[in-house]
Amino acid sequence: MDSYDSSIDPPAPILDVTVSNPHNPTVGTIEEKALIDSGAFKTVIPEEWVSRLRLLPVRPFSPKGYKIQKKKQEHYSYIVKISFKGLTFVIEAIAVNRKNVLVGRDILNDLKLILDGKNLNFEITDP
Amino acid sequence: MQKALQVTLEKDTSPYTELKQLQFKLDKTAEYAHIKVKLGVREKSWTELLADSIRSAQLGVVKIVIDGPLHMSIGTLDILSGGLADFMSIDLAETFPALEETHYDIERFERERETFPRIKNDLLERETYVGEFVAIHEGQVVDHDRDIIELSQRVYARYGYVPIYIDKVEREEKVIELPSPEG
Repeated sequence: MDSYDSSIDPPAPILDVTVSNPHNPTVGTIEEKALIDSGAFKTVIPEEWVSRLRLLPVRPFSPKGYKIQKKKQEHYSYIVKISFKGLTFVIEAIAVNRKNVLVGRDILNDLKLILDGKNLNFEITDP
Repeated sequence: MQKALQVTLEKDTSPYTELKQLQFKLDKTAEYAHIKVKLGVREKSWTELLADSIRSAQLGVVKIVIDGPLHMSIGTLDILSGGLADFMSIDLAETFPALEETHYDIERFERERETFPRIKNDLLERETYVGEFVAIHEGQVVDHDRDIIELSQRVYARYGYVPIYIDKVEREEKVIELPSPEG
């Protein structure tokens, strides 16, 4: 079991993740904290990583359903490789203006996640 | 100590970002002078305005920080083509090695993207594509798959890591909830 990150108020299940561009590995990787978020339908990465990892957009999303007319509200998805705890996933992630990663249901639904909030512990495994 | 000018482009996810408003705050006592550039509809060359300010502030070093997504680099192209090159003490080509390529990539991606709504109704009439992701390259559907990752890996392997628009052929548009931009 891993401990919740108590530096966050209230404490939260946080993973150390490594994110890279699976189609351009020469640009390196980024290591960052990631919040386990079953409320996120897809994994989210910070927008500023798009240029750092030289990611190419795949398709747009918007907060109220994608393919809307106002392009300024759009966010783009990108194919990224994300690794944590010996597990690696190639996924379609959405880039938004955030500082850290949200590990969403696109990944969590392939894993077993136990949240023991009472004891501030969690376990995430590939059964 | 030499003073520097730090330029931060305000985050904007639109690929059509251009200058809307330029806010100057040049503090001669600070290590860096900050200039915030708000991007929107272009009205005037912001590089010209910036160059004037750099001259008036007599800053020795110019540090350009582009803190935004890939398509923000459209704005940085203005730096290269505008009057700021005279003030650069850093190698922009090294800092932003993919700038020219990026600008080209955005235009290509948008062209591929424009194809999808034009052909979507036709695709919906063909059972082969309904519920599948299609990949659009050079204005044509080049491949399709139920799995977007499988499809992306296949088309990038075939055509190289170039702008390819991928989207799902479905009758109803999904309503999604994006996470808060905080964090």
